[in-house]
Amino acid sequence: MSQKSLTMDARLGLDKYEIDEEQSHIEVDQERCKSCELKPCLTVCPAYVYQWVDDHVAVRYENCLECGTCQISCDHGGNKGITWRNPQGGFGILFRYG
Amino acid sequence: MEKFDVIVVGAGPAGSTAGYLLAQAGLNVLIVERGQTPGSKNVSGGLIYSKLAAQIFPEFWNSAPVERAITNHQLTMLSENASVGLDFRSQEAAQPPYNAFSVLRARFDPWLAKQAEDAGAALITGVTVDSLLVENGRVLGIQAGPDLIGADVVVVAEGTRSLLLKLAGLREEFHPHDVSLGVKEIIALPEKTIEERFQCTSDTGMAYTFVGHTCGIEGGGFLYTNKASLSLGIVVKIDALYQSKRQPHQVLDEFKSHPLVARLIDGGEVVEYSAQTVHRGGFHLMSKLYGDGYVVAGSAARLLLNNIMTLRGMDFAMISAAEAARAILAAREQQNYSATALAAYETNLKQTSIYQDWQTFKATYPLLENKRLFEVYPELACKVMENLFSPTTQPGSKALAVLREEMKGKVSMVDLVKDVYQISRGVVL
Repeated sequence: MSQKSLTMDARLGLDKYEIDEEQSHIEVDQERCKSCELKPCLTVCPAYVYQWVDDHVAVRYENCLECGTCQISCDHGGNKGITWRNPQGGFGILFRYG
Repeated sequence: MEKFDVIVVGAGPAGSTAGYLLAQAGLNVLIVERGQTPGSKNVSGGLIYSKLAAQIFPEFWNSAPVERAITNHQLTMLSENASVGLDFRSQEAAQPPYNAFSVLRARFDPWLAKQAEDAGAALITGVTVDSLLVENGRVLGIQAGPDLIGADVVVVAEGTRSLLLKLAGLREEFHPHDVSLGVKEIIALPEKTIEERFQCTSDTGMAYTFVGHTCGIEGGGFLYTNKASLSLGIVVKIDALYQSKRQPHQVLDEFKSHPLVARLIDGGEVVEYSAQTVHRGGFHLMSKLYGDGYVVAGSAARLLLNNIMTLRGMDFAMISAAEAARAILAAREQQNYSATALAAYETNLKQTSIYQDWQTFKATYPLLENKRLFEVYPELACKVMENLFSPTTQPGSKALAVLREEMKGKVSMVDLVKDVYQISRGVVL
């Protein structure tokens, strides 16, 4: 196979972002996440934004592709711990092809 | 408070079409886009069906940055390491009014927004609308950072996440059962390689729809030829995805490793990775389209049509925006922007060919729910083909005997008959 699979970092490294250094557009309620059984966000996010580290969810919001899958999954399969807003104007992912 | 006749939220196909038509009719229109440029937040599989879009933008293919006219559609079922498919080619689709074009949204959407601007609409980019201004159930305008801007009507064309409507309590919750996740890669390949590999000319191209090989998750794959790249992706149902415990990029990698897919993308270089949610679509699932002082167009209202062979979002967005614009102009004549006046939008929309298409293909929707279609049948179809095409030292069997043998433990004859009926009802009869 000539196409070897890319690591997530390599994949995301292909994309262009304007990172909002000051504020995250994603808020999580850690208490809710702790008692969440399924934690669907860890599975469904195509950019690996959510990772379980020790006893909390680490949110790498700067990698977000802004698809909205986490919110829908969390609201119904999770524990309603995620609040996802649009990044501030001009910030976030910048698709060059789309 | 500054005030416009109409504020449009989002400069995608729905927003720019509404902005274009309303500005053309002489209204004072403001389009607000959160991306630095139109299209920079937008992802599609990448096909736009041209005949309806051309009703609004005649012969748009002459000036819009389209990639290739699609003259070859393939519907392919994938098993572990085989494939069987339908191959449809038409020269008619190589000339006006064409049928479908592959597009890249970061290139196509700026062109659309420019049409609206040229017609007189004001476009501001890099501004996120934080909320709709609502008073006594009536939408009065928008809030963006410190700015409050008023309008007679707000056209909500914010796209698939539909956050403003959610925040304002103007739509129902989306359920992961009704929404899929699409993940996509743009794979660069030289034009010449694309033309040789996909047997097309410099202006025409191919579109593959794949069923199977998505780790058993309901959904499918696609591959479209752009000018000098391929759009390759999978679309999988969100609830099935998290129940499967598979991560989306793993499903994508698994899909890419299929021998047929691997050969099609061989030598290509991935240059972008993107993702987007895709609503199941259909008029039965659409959000409320209008209320006092606002209308909703495009995928923000979940207006999308999927009959497996075609997945229509962009032309549907444009047509819905055109009908919304028509209703707004009629409301303006009466100087009445209430829900009652704007209800004409839904009435208009239900008279379009899109609505009739949905009526025709409604029976397809249960198919998208049928797990066997994605998990069992691609494998079965390939097994039957293998048997028909591959004589061995063992005596061969006819298709039905092979089918019976292969079905054991996977699907009962009763289920098969039911499914065949469902498939015929869905796409044939």
